[in-house]
Amino acid sequence: MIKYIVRRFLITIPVVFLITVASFTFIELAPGDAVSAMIMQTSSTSLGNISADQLERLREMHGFNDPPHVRYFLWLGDMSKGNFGYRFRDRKPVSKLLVERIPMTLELMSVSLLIASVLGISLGVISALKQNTSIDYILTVVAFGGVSVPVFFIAMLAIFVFSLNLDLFPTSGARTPAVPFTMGDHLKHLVLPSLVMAVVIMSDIMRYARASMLEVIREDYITTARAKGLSNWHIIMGHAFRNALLPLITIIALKLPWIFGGAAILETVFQWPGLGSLFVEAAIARDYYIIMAQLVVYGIAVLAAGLLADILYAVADPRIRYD
Amino acid sequence: MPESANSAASLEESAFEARSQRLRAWRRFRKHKLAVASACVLAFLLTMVIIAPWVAPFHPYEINIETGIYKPPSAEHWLGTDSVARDVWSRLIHGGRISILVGVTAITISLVIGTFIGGISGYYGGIVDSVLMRITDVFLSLPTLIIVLASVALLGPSIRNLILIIGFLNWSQIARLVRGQFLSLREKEYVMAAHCIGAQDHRIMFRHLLPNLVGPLTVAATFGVAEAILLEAALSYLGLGVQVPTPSWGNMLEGAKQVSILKSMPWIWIPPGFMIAITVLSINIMGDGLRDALDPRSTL
Repeated sequence: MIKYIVRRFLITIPVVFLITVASFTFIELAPGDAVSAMIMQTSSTSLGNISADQLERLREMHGFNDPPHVRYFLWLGDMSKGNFGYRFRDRKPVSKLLVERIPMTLELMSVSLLIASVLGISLGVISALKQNTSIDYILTVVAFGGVSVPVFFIAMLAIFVFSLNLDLFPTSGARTPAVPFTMGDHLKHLVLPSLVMAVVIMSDIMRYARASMLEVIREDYITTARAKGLSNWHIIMGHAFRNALLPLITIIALKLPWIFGGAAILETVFQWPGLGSLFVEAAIARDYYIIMAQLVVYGIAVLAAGLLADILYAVADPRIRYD
Repeated sequence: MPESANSAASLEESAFEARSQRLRAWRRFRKHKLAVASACVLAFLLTMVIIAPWVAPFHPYEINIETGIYKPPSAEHWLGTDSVARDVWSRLIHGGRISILVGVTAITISLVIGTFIGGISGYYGGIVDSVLMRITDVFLSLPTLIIVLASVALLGPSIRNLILIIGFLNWSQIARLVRGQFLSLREKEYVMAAHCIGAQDHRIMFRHLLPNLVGPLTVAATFGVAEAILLEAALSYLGLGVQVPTPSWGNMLEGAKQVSILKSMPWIWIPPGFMIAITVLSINIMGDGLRDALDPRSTL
C-alpha cells in the first residue's frame, strides 16, 4: 500500500512540470504583453503617451525580450524560491497573497464539502430506496434545481433573505472589519457561503449517490441477503451502502475542479478573501503574475485531488491490491 | 426477381423499424411528464426570445429619461427600469436571445470537435487513440470556469470570444462518448461489409457509424447547452462576458453586486436570475427525459 502511494505520488511530479509549462505557454500565447498591461494598471498614462522606443526599453528591462524558454526557466527558478511576482495594483507579493488566501478557500471548501457529502449521500440513498415515490420525485427536482440555478443567484437570494431581511448573518467578508478577530464572528461569516456552496455540491452528489445505490440494490448478492432473511436495515447498511459508496469517492474527487470554479464565483459574491475571489480580481485586472501563479496552484490542486481519490479508493476497497 | 424483392422488403422493414424506434423513443419521452412540461416551457421561452423585437415594448438600449432610473415596476415598465433608465422587461427578453445563442453555438462547436476527436480516436485506435485520449483526459480534468476566466482575461471579453472559449473547452465528454461507441461499433459486420465493398474511412465514419450516435449525442448536447448557459451567466455576472449595453441574463444581474440594489430593488435582479434558473432547469429535466427515451441503457 505504502509502495503504491509513493509510486502514485512520484508519477505526479512530472505532471506538475507539465502544468507549469502549460500555464506559461497559455499566458505566452495571449495577445498583448505584460508591459502594456502593467503600464495601464499602474499609472494613469494611457499607452498613447509612451513612445514605442520607451516601451521597447521597458520590455528589455523586464526581460520580456528574452526567448520564451529562457523566460520559462527564469520564472520556474523564481517560483521555486517562492517568488511569484507581485500584484500590479499595490505591488504586494503574490506569494504573500497566496499564503493568506489558500487557507480561507480550504476552510470554505472543506466545510461545504463535508456538509454536502453527508447530506448528499444520505438524501441520495433515501431517494434510491424510495424510488418512484413522492419523496424520490421531490428530492430529484431539488437536485436538479441545485445544479440548474446559478450559484451566484442562490447566493444573492441567500444574502437577500438571511442577511438583508432577517439580519441573521453578515452580507460579506470573512470577519467584521475594524473589530478584533474572534472565532465566533468569523464562523458567523462562514455560515452563508458554506451553506450555499454545500447546497450546490450536495445536489450533484445526490444524483450520483441515487444512481449508484440503485445499481447496487439490483445486484444478486442483495437478493441473496434478502433470501437469507436479513433485516432490511442490515442489508442496506451492511451490504449495499458500502459498495454504493465506493464509486462516489472517485466522483467527488473528479468534481473538485468544477467545485473550484463554483467557489471562485461564490467567493466573489460573498467577498470571501480566498483564492477564487483573488483569481476573479486578477482576471478582471488582467494581472499576469497572479493569473500565472494561480493556474499552477489550481493545476496542483486538481492533481492532489486525483491523488487523494486514488489513495482513498485503495483504503476503502479491500478488493483492490496494488503490489 | 426474388433477390431484389427480398432486399426491397428488408429495406421497407428497416425503414419501419427506424420509424418504430423513433416512435418508441417518443412514447418513452411522453411518459416522463416533467420532461414534457419542461419541453413546453422551453418552447414558450424560445418563441418569446425569438419574437423579442416585436413583443418588447421598448428598445433594450433605449434610455427612458422621463421615467427615471431605478423605478419600480409600473403599467408602462412592467419590470421597472435599471441604472440608466432602460426598460428591464425589454432587456430581459432580449437578454435571453444572447444567453441562448451563446449556449447553443458554443455547444455546436464542442459537438464538432468532440465528435471529430472521439471518432478518429475510436475508429483508428492504437497510438492515435492513446494520444488523443490523454489530451481529452487533460481537458476533462480542467477546472473549466477557471480556464474560461483566464482565457477571457487574456483575449478580452466579447460574445464571439465567449462562444469560442466555451466551445473549445467543453468537448471532452462528447469525445469520450463518441470514442466509446465507435470502439464497439467498428467491430460490427456491417462495417466490415462496407470495408469490403471499398467504402472509405470517412464514409464509414459519417454514414455508417455516426447515425447510431444521434440519440446519445442529442442527450449530451442538451446537457451541454445548460452548462454553457450557466457559464455565460457566471462570466457576464462577473463582468467578463457579454458587455453592456448588450443585455444578457448574466450581465443584468451584475448591477446587484451593490448591496443597496440587492436589498431594495429586487425587480432588477430577480427576473434575470429566475429566467436563467427556469431555462437551465427545463433543459436539464428535458435532457433527463431524452436520456430515458433515447439512451435507455444509461443509468445516470
